[in-house]
Amino acid sequence: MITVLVLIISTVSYTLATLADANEQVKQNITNFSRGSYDILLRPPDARTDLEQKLGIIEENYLGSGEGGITTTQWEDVKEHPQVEIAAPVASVGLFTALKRTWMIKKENDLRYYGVDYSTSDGVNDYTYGKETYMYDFSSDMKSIHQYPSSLEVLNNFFMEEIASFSFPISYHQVVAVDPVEESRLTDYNLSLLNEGIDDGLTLKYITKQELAIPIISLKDVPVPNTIKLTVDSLEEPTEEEVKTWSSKFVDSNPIKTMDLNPIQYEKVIQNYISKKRRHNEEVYVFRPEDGPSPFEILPFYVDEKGKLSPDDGTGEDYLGGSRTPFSQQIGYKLSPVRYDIKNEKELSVTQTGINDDYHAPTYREIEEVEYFKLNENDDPVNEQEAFEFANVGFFSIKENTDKLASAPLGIYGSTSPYLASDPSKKLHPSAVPGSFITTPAHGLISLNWAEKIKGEAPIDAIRVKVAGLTGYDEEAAALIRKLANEWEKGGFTVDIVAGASLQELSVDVEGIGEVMQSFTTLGAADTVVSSWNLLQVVITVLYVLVAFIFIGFTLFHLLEDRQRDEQLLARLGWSHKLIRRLRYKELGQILVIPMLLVFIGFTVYGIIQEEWLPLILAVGVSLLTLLVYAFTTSIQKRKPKKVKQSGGTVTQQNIWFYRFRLLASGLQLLIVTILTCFLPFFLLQSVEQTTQTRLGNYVHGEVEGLFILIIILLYGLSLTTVYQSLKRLWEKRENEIQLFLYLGWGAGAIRKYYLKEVLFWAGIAILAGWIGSICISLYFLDVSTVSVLIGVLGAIFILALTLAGSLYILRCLEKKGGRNFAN
Amino acid sequence: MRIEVKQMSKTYQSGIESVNVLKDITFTIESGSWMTITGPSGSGKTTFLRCLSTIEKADKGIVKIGDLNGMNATEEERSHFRRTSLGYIFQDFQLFEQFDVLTNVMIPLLPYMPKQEIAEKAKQMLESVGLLERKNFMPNQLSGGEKQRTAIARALMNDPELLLCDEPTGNLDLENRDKMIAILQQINRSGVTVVLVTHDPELAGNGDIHGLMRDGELTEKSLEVL
Amino acid sequence: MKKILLASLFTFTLLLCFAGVQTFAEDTKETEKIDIQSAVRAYVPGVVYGTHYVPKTVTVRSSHGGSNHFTFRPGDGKEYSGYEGTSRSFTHTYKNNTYKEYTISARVTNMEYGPSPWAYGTARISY
Repeated sequence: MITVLVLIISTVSYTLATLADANEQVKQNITNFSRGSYDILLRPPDARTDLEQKLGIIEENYLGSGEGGITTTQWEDVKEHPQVEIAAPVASVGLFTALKRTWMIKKENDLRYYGVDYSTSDGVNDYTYGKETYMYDFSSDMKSIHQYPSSLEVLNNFFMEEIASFSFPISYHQVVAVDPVEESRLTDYNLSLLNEGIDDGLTLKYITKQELAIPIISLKDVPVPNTIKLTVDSLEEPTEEEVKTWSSKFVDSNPIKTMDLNPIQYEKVIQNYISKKRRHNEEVYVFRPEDGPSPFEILPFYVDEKGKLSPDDGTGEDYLGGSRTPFSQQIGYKLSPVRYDIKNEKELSVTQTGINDDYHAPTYREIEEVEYFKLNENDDPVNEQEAFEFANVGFFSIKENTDKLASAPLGIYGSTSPYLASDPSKKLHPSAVPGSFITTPAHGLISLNWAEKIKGEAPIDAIRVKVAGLTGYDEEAAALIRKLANEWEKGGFTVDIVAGASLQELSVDVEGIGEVMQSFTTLGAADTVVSSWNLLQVVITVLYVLVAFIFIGFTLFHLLEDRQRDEQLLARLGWSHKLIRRLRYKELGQILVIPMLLVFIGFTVYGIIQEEWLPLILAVGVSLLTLLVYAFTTSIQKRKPKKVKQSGGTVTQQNIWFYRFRLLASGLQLLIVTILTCFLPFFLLQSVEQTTQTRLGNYVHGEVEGLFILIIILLYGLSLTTVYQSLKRLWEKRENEIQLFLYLGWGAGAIRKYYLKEVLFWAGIAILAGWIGSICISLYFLDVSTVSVLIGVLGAIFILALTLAGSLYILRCLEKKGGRNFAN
Repeated sequence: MRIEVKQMSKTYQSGIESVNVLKDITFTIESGSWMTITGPSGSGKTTFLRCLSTIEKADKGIVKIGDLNGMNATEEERSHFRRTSLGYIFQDFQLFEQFDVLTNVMIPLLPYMPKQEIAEKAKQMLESVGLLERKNFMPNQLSGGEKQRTAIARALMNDPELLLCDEPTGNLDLENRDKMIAILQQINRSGVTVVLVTHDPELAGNGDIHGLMRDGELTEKSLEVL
Repeated sequence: MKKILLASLFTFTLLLCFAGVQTFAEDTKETEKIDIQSAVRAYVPGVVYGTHYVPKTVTVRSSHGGSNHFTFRPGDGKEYSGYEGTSRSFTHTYKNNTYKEYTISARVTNMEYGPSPWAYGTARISY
C-alpha cells in the first residue's frame, strides 16, 4: 500500500506539474508567435470570398482583382487612430507584362543559325511557346545583309553586325502600391527608394522622361518564369547561284516582304533551301528562370562569360547593344480570383477555365485587359499626363518572412509555395501565363502616391493594421484587437483579425495539375489551439484524478473494512475504543504519512536540483486530497455493515452481489481504462489534427509533444497499475475460497473457468459501460465514424482480454501457493 | 478406504530455515476405521491431514490412500480423488459467505454434474443433518452448530470413502459438539474411514486408532490399539 | 530656258539636301540649347529615305568623343541602344502599307559629359 501510494501521489503530482509546464509552454508560444507583423486586416465592404465566408480561411495573395475601395483619406484616418501603431495600405495596381526588351549574345564573324525556344512552367508541367524563333544569318558584315528571320520582330531585334539579340517572351507580373514608410515599418524592409526620384545616370539612359518614370522595387528571387534555350549552329556559305535561286522564290526577291505577305512560301524556302545550309554542330545555351532578370529591370541584358543573362550596369565590355519598346507596359491585366469549389472542410477543387494561346497552358481565371494610357501611331503617349514607365530602383527579399509562424503578411509577397501532394519537392509557382492557378504575388512595389494616378480614387484594396502598445498575443491583446476590429466594422470595413491566425494546408484538386497542397490563412488559429489544448487538459486531468482517487478511495475503504474486523476482535478482548482508535490512527498514519513524506522529500530534492517547486506544491495538494478521501471513506465505514441477505440467482450472480463493493473498484478502474482506450486516442488524434492544421498549431504541438506523450504513458501506466492492483486485491481477498475449492476437489481448470466466467460477467459489464460511455463522450466531442466505433470495439475486447489474462495469471499464482493459509 | 503411510516426511522452508513438519510417519488404517490424533498446536496435525487429502504432497515416503499413490499421482488424479472419495471438515466450517446453505452444499459437485441432480442430492444431505428447512439461509444467519452440520452435509455430497476432520468441534458448544460426534459416529458406521484431529478430550475418546502427534512425529508409544 | 532654270534650281536644291544628309550640318534639329563647352549633342539625319521590308541603317553621331551610349528610336515604338565611340549605326526594317513618315530620334550619353537632349529626324519610307 505504501509503495502504491508513493507511486500514485508522485505520479499524479509530477504529471499535473508536467501538464502545467506544457500549458505554460502553449501559452508562451501563442503569446510569442501567434501575433505576426500586423493584427487586423481592413478591406472594403463585401470583400470576402466564398472560401472566407464558408471556411474562415483566406487565400494567400488575397487582393483578388484589385478593384480598390478604400480612399487615402480613410487610410489616413485609420493611421491617425491613437491605438494604431502601423496602418500599411496595399493597392493592387494590376498585372503587367514584363518590359519588352532584348537580350544579346556576342556573335562571331561568320555565318550562323540562331534558334530560340521559350518555355514556361507552373512547377509541375512545362509549356512550350508555340511560335518558332530563328534567324539564318549569312551576312558576315553589314555590306551584304542576307538574313532570314522567323519574324520581322526577330529581324528588328537582331540588328547589328557584331551581336545577336532576341526579345524576352511575354510574362505577367503583379504590381502593388504601398506606402513606403508604413510598409517599411511593417516588413522591416527599407523601401524609401520608392519615394525618391530617379537620378541614377544608368537608369536615366533607358527611360523616356524622368517625370514619367515610376520607381519600382522588384521582388528578389522572382525572375521572369521562362526558360530560354538558344541553339547556335554554323552555316555553310551559299554560292551566288544559290542566293539567286532563293531570291527568285521570294516576292520581289525580298525575303522579309515574303515572310510577311506569304509566310507559307517563305517557310517553304526556309525548309527546302536555307535550312539545308546548317552544319549541325550546334552549341546550346539554356537560360533558366533563376538565372533570369527581374521583370521590371530596365537595363538591357547580355550573356556574360558564365553563360548567364546579366543586366548591363555600364561597367562591362560584353554588352554591345539591344532594343526595347519604351511604353510596352501601357497595358495591364486584371485577373479574377480562382474559384474554389468546396468539397469539404479540408478539400477544395479548381476547374480549368481556358487555355493560353501562346503556351497552351491551362488557365483558371477570367482575364480583363486594362489600357492605362493610349499611344499614338508612333507608339508615343497621346497624353503624357497619363503615361508612365516603371523604372527598377532596387530589390527586396521575402525570405525572412518564410520562417514566421503566423501568416502575418497574409500573402501579398507569396512567401509560401504550394506543392504537389504526390511529390512535395515539386513546388508550384505562377507560370508566364496570366490566369495561372497560383496567384502571382507582388513582383513589384510602387509608392501609393502613384496608385491614384493609375487606379483612380479609392485605390486601396486593404489596410494592414498593427495595434499599438501590445507585446504579444494574450487575452488582453485579443480583447483590445477585438474592440478596434468592432469599431472599424461599424465604420463599414470588412474586418479580419489576423493576430492569432496561422497558415494551414488544404488539399486542392486542380484540373490539369493534380492534387496540390496549398496554404491558406486560418483566422482564429490561436484560439483553436488554445481551446483544443484547454479541453485536452481538462480531459486528461479529470481522467488522472478519477484513476488515482477511485483507486485510493476503494483501497482505503477495503483497508478500513478489514481493520474493522480486527478492531471488533480487539474490543472483545477488552481494548478501550480510545486505545483501538489510537492504534488505528497509528497504523493508518504510517500507511498514509510515510508515502507522503517520501514524496515530499523526493520533490524537495528535485526542487533544489531543478529549481522547480510545482511538483512539490501539487504533491501537497494531492496528499491533502488523499486525506480527504480517507476521511470520506472512514465516514462511510462507520455506518454499520448490513448483514448479507440471500440474493438469489446463479452462483456467479451471488458471487458478484456479495463482492460488489470490491468489484466496483475494479469495475470502475476498468471503465476508465476502457474510456482511455476507446475515447482518448481518438480525442487525442482529433485534437492533434485540429491543432496541427495550422502552422502555429504544428509548432505548438511540436513543442509540447514530448511532454504530452509522457503524460499519456504515465496515465495509461497508472491506470493499468491500478486495474492490476484492484484485481490482485480482489483475488487475494478470495484466496481462501480458491483453496477451499481445491479441498472440495475442484480441478484447476474448473476453478479457473468458474472465476473467469465471473470476471467475464462483471468486467464485461464494466467494459461495456466504458465503451458506451466512450461513444457518448465521443459523440459530444468527436466526429464518430464506423472505423472509430470498430476500433473502439477492438479496444474494449483488448481490455477484456487483458483483464482475463491478468486474472488468470493472479489465479495461477494463488493456486501455486497451495492453500498454505489453511496451515496452522 | 485403506490408508497406508510409510516414512512420510514433509519440510517447509521458512525464510532460510527449514522446518521438518512431519518426520518419517508410518501407519496403516484399514477401511472403515476411525483414527483420532491429538497433539499440541503446531505439532503438524493439519499438515498431516493436508498430506492425506493430497492437497499437499509429502516430500518423501509412501502414501497410499485406497488405490491412489499420493506420491506419484498427477494433479488431475489427486483432485479427482478429492472430488470422488474425500470429505473434509474444518474447525471454522469454511462456508462460502456469499452462498445460501443449499448452494454451499452443492458446491463440490457443481462443475461436474447437472445442477438439478446436485440440488436433489444436497437436499437429501441437508435432511440427513437436519437442516433442510434452513436451505435458503445465508451462512451468517446460522448458528455454529448449523454451520458445521452444513459443512458435514457438503463433505458427504460425494459419498466419500474417507472423511478428514480438522478440529470439527473446536468452535462448537457442548450440545452441538455431542450432536457432531453422533453424526461422525454414524458416518463411520456406514463404512467411511475417518481421520480426525482434535484437542477435544471428549472427541479424542472416539475412534479405533489413537495417535499422538508431537514435533511432527507419531511415536510408536503413542499408537495404541483400543 | 525657264524649264532649264527650274530644272537646275530643283537639281541644286536636291543636291543641297543630299549634301546636308551626308554632312549633317545645319539641318540637324536640336531640342535644347545648353552650354556650348560641355553640352553633349546627338546628331541624327534630318531625313532618311527607305523602303518598307528593306532594312534601313541610320547612323547616330555624338558631339563628343570617347565612350558614348547611343539611343535610337526609329519612330514605330522600338528603341535601340548600344555603346560606341563617336558614332553608331542602327538598322531597322519598317513595315507599312502605304508611304509613311516616321519621326526618328536619338540621344547620346557621353561617359564623361553626360546625356544629350533628344535629336529628331524623319524617315520617309516608301511602299
